[in-house]
Amino acid sequence: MLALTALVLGGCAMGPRADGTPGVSADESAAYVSYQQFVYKIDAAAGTEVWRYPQSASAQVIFYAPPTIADGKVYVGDFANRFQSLSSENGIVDWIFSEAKGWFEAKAATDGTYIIAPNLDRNVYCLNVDGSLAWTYSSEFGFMAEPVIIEDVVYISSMDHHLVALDIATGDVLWKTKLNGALVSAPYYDAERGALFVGSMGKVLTAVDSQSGEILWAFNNNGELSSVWATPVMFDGNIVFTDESGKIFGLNPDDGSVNWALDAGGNVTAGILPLESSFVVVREDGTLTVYNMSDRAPVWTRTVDGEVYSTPVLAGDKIFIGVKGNVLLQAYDLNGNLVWSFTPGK
Amino acid sequence: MWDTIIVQPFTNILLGITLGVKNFGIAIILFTLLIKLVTYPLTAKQIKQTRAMTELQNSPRYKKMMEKYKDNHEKLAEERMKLYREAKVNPAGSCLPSLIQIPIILGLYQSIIKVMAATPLELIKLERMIYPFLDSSKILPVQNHFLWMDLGQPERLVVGGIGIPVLTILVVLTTWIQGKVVAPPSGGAGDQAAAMTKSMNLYMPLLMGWISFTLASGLALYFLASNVATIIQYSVQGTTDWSKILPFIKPKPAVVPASTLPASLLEIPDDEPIPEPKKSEPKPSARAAVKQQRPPQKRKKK
Repeated sequence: MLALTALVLGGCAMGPRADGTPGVSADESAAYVSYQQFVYKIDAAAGTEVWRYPQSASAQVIFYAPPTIADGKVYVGDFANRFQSLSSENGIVDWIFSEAKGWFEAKAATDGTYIIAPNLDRNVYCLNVDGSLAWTYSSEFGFMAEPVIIEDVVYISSMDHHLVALDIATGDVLWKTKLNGALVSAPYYDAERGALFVGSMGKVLTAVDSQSGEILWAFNNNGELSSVWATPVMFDGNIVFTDESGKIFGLNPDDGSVNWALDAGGNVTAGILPLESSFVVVREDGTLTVYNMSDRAPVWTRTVDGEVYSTPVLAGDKIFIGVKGNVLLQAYDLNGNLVWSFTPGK
Repeated sequence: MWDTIIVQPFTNILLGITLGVKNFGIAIILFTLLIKLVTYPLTAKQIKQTRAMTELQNSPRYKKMMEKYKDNHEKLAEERMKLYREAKVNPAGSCLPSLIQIPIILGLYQSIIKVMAATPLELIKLERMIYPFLDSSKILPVQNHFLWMDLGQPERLVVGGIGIPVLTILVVLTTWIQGKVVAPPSGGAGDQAAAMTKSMNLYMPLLMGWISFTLASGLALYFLASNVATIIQYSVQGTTDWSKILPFIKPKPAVVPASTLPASLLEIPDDEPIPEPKKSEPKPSARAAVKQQRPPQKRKKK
């Protein structure tokens, strides 16, 4: 019995054990996808692979964190506890930071001077652009959310239920506010109001003053809200988000009152993507719907070939969708036409 | 189906314990002990069956039968089954309870993996497994920090800049001890089961050690708790033989004196001669020896 059990368990002992979704980033010329053993650069026009990193697969190296694209570099962490800077041109390694003790699941953020890389080892690592460590911030739980950098302040959602503001140069805590539930997505920053909006696994969306950390209001839909997995967005004078059950809300950003609500008809964990006069909602089952901003009427609906958990990315005139299924990435034009699908070759 | 019947209840019990004790490491240990307790009747039955089978295989009658039909495998199988039936010993009886425990162990393993969700996708799936009466917002994420360990990562205790895999060492050690002291006494020289046990005692600690060294330490903690619980369980039942690893302890008799089988089944029928035991074979059972009034010097030492 022990032998059989050990063999079953032993089959899992060949590398990091984790189930993730494609992490997607894009600019006008290319899309970058982290998934399983590679980071891919894909030509935005043709949908073809430009390069992959590393060149050969390793059972120990897994990527799920979306790459960060800045200044000709691709910054991405992996599940071998390493954070690397690659050339966006050819995928060649610039440097590797390997002092972390846990996995990099979250997308990093950069202001051009510092790179903020959250880790599951309960630390946020602030690196200089040459890969040297500037400071670390420690918490009681790991970090899964992308930090937000506004001028000289880093705002970061923590799994320990806190929203934290840090001085980007020193890592000093400016304020730390406890919210309801673990925070698994980045806050949305509204410059006009100086407010942050963040959802949580505590089934609430909270507005927080970005200067003081004071809670401005909290919305839980009278206890009916489910977990909020993605960053809210602001358009048409509303703070807009979905909960896990697929309810989409447009709230008054000043007081959290409901301006409108909509039902996506299925579970939604990806965030909403606002376009010029419409917005995109992708259900987990791969149903992609574009709604009019003005009357929330559906404009077009498509079905993606697999499950979708991550927020679609707009770059140029294309919508990129990371897919957990038969394809890895699909590109649609703004009229809902599938431009290409990308499936990695061997 | 598998998730609904096994993994989901296990996951919720594990999370419930974690919520109660506020510590995932202790929850893993308590949950392992709970599973051991629940499966105790199966384990006890397995021990009883193994003991009866060993006793039967060491009896003069069994040996006589083996000798008599050594050239007629068909007849030997027939006679052996007849003896098993008479003794009410099920040849599969010692492994059936173990087989039933496999899904439980795999379910426990999977539930520990699920609770240590390390990606948003795993958290989403975990949250959906939680029963409504448990408040997921208060439970998730589970605090993976226990003593010096991050239960979601392979364990190393850093001493003087060197990472020592303490938990791995303990898992290897307890797996080896368990294999040595818990293994049933051999049914005879050249016994296939004994050879397999010997080989397992060598490879199992290495395999378990490798798994503990490379996988999340939460699993290694489970292996350690499970090993220790098994050793204690067998010790309490009096079926461990510590002389196999501690030479200063007197060895246990090859056959348990308090027989679980009727004496008539262990004896050689009166009309048949007693076979001379070969030097390499274990001595016959104490009870059978008394019945046959064999000379005292031929009795097994107690």
